[in-house]
Amino acid sequence: MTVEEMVKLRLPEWQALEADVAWLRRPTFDRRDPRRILDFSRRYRSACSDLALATAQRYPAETTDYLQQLVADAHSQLYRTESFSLLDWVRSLVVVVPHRVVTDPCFWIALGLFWSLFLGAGAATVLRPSYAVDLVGASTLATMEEMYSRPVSENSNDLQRSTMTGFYVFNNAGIGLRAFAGGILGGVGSLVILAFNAIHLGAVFGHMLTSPQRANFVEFVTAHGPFELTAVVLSAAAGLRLGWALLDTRGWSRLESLQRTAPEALATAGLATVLFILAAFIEGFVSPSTLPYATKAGVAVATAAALGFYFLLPLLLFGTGKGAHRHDA
Amino acid sequence: MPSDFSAANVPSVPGLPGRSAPLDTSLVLVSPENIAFEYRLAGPAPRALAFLIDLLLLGLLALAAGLFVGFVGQGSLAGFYLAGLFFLWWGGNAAVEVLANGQTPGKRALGIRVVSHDGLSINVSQSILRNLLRAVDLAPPLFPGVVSMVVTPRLQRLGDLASGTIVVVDRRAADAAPPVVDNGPNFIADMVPAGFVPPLALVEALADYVGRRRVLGPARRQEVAAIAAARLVAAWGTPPARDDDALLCAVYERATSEPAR
Repeated sequence: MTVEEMVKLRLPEWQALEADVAWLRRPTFDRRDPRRILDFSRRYRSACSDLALATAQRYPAETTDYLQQLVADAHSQLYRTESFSLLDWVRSLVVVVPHRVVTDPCFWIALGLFWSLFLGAGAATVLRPSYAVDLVGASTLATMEEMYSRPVSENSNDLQRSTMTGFYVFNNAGIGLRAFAGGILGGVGSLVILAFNAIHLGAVFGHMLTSPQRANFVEFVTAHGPFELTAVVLSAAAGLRLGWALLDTRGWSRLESLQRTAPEALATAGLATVLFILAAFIEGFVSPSTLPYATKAGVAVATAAALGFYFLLPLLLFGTGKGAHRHDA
Repeated sequence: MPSDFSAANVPSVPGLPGRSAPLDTSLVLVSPENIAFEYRLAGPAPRALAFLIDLLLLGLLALAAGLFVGFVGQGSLAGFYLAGLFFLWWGGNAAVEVLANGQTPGKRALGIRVVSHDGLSINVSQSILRNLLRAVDLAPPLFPGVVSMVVTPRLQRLGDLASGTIVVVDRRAADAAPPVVDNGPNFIADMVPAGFVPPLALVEALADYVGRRRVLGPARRQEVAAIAAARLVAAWGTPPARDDDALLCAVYERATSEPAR
């Protein structure tokens, strides 16, 4: 059979495959005709063998190019984006991620760095108040003092609370994701953002705790503190894990190591985002509310206890074994 | 055999033995059907344009939603607006990429597509990761993503490297005309010596000739064909052909014909 005869013979099938691809490309939420899908996969396989023949037999470039494109089109429809199961993600977030986080040195490094810089900057500011001006600037401190000069529940209606909740999601969770993304630069970006926030927050805390606005300030920051500060640490820990994969490759190539670690780090960043959003709701609706301080402190204790439970329970169940979670993953 | 036709020392493409690798930004991947096909990588220019289009659409969407919140909701929806903006900014592209099989509106407009480096469609976590890491890729003053695209062979930014994705030109078979092959006259097939097996490089050259001869006039065909035909008959030691075009067609048909099935 000559090339000419072959092309003439197969062209109707190829054009039918082209029509199938166009049909599959059209977004639809209806169930598709299963018979046509079977026809499509059969036509795809035969186009594959036609392409193999055309390549091996050196068909004219026009024909092989056409077949290349046809096969690539059909291939991208046959192997579409895999669907994902929300249930699997939730299960991973409840069981796999907390265990992986607490057995990961990156988490403890981020936690230690954050708290030591936070407490260090706070203590330094308490001991010598001029540090606060050096660290965060006089205008920021003046704004903070102005903000907390009245009880936080005054001038705060439901509209402002929902608006501020949205703002906290946008701003704080955004900082968290930036801290995670910065990890791709060998972890340096995450460390810089983490250290900056720790020192800034520490200085503001140290300054406000020695100022006359102390009571209003404490009343506001108590309730959402546990979730928000943990979320900052988790974001940086996720970025650090990404950056560390570039340095300690465990025998893979650097690229391979990065790509194998990325889904794990991404899950931790996802957990941080969930915590940021929960913290935003507390910060928006509980912290500035008229509830008594005891209730706000109760929320802080409860959220801290929930975090302890969440992270330590899988540790008690599975131990510190490095590979324990991999069977679930 | 004249050495002009030898295919020696030509680097071959995996999956396409004997075919020389083009010096180009293309990538050959092997599918599960054991078929190799070529992807053309999308360069920084179309990708930047696609990003700008997406950014513009995002801005228009945010503006429209902002006007709606401001005028219709009288500001009461501002919290939802800001939270929505967060998800749109960080996750909007990822959601569209997953739903539209690797294409955002900007990518669709520029005819490019994100695929996994093994040629399969990207999955949810790959898409989220590569879009989160854009924050670093576009961080001034160094723009690490642009640097990364220039120095990596597959034109990947950092988000692509971490998630194992590439951006390719989305060619469509429908854009190419269906092939018309005209094998040409074959009346002097017996001029080709019985034992003659044309080398691959010659068959490839003849494939190009046969593929294009239908757009040439009769005189031009003879003129083009005469060059190769003269060398062939010299190598065979036979008298010159009366019709050089027909001779080349006959050689090509000898090389490519399968026994009838």
